Amino acid sequence: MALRGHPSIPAATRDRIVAVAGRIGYRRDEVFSALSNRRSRAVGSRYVPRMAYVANRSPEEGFFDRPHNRMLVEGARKQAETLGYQFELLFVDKGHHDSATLYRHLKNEGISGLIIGAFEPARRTFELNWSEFCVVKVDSRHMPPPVTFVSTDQVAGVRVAFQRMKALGYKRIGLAIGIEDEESTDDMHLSGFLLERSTSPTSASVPPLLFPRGANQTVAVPLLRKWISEYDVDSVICNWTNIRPMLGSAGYRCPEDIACACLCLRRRNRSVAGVVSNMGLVGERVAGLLATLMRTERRGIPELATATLVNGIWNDGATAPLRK
Amino acid sequence: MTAQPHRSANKSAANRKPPTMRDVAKAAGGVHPSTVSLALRNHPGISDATRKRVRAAARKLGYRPDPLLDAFNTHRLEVLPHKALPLIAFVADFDSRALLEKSPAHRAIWAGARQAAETLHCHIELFLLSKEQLTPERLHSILRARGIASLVIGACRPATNRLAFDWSDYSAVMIESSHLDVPLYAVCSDHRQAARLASQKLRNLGYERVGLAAASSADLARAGYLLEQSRMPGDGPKTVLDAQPSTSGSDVATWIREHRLDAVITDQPDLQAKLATAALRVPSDAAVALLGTDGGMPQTAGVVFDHARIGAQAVEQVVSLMRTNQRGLPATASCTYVPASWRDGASAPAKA
Repeated sequence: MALRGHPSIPAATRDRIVAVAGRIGYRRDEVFSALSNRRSRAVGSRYVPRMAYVANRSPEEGFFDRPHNRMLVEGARKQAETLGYQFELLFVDKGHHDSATLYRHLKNEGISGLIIGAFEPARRTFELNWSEFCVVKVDSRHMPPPVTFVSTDQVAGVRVAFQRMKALGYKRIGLAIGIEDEESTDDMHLSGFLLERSTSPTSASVPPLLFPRGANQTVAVPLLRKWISEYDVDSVICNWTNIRPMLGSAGYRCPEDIACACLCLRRRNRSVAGVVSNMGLVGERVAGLLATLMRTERRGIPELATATLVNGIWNDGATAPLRK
Repeated sequence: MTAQPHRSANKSAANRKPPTMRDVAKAAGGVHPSTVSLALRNHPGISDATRKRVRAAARKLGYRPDPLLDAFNTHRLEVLPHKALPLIAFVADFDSRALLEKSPAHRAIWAGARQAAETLHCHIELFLLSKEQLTPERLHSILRARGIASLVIGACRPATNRLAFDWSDYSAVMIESSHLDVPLYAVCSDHRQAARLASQKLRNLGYERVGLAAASSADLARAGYLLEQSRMPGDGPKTVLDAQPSTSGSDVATWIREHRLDAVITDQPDLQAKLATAALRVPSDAAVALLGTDGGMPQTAGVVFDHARIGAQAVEQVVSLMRTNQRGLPATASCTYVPASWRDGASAPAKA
């Protein structure tokens, strides 16, 4: 009671006790305090530790229209709840949080664990006093701070797509990728492509095509057309989900003129070949890693941040048939 | 600002009393509440049948473990040593403990694993996997008999290419053993990042013609090297030599001369010694950066792998699997990559 500054303890006694505690190095056990505090306060209710998933695209701006967001959030929520954590989805975006309001909200609500969820480049970011929180990142790596990171394994994804295309008989295999996607994934696509290309003499002279920053379909299609014709590309590996219609707009029939594989398939299907990424599992893993940090009280920025990468699964489809 | 619906949700949740371990115990056919606690933590002392029954009852009642209580227990165990902690088997692919201790990397992995187990209040026990000690089959039956359901497979040798386990019995994580070809959760050094870091450091030190001499299995190191070389201004070399322990010094020296390299990144610890036999001087003829240099090689520049962190990470992951009762092979493989750091050394000084 003295250490908590209870009014019923005379000041002299309190000071004496505080001095003794200081001298012998007694410190209040924060975990125990939290526990007993909860016990005394809450009858029948239960304090549940919380983690928040923070995204930088609000629902008004189409957060839920992007399937990978839904899958990541659901995976993370499921794992958080299995482990007994309460899970909250927050946004830093216009009409939602900025750094200051987010910080206040996290503090007010007692949220100590944070998932920086699939941040998109060129949208709002935020800063906190990171040492107060356990922080992990999912799917997108570019935003500071450098913390534990989880995503699909795009090195492995590009490699399996390249190897599969090669096995199907394609000789001039190219990679088309948004430069922002490369930046936010630490160049994983390019690494996988350069590695596989180094083992394929017939594709050796096909350079990767990097769509410029902020490119939409109008910008990308002419670039795609020029690249395909200049380097005689017979199959395209791309992380954009609309690669097939883009090839159509560029004047190529798929698969008759050119084959394609999409690196971001959401589910197995027969029409589009590519890699099905397991975003649900990515979400589960990130919440699991955050729970471990919270359990062991590891807040702030680690000296060395690990990257956990989840493999995708190859899916044969009509856009990449066996070449005759 | 976002709406805060959880406040009212909390209130309504507060009106319903959440199920307790006692409720689960009753629903699981009248076991003792402590059995519930043990069963939910996959304690080896609880039979498989009871564990399943308790878990089913917990699921049905919506019983959830309490992370705060758990953090408290984790904390409390630091003061009160416990007799029957969950047991993790650390399986090392060595003929003897002395041999394991002789390998700096494995010694550090094992030390990191022990440290993490202690922090998380688990016992970890070393099992040696080898013909003389234990075959995988024999180990499997020992683990079963002792009720050990959590495994860390520590860096298997290339010769050990299969482990005859029924993985469905175990929560398992493996270290650096991609050649085993089982989709277990894995923890590895980040060889792609390591090769990138070495390329960047050599570039900053003034080297312009850098080659990679690495085992053909080191494909992520190749990926990192090729990526960095593609970023070099001008027409830098992108040359990779398939280097094995059996590759001779003169083969490497010929390759260095042929491509006019001024620096070599390698995963072969004895490359410098080999080059000396071929009259190629390090660093005056070519600098050397080793992927995986360590305290035993104070003169060698290169990247240092954090083996202790790898061991610790593997234990943390297996504990996480235990706690969520995830056993068997996951549908898709995943790997946690632990980054390496750079260390300067006489084999790669700043270029004059």
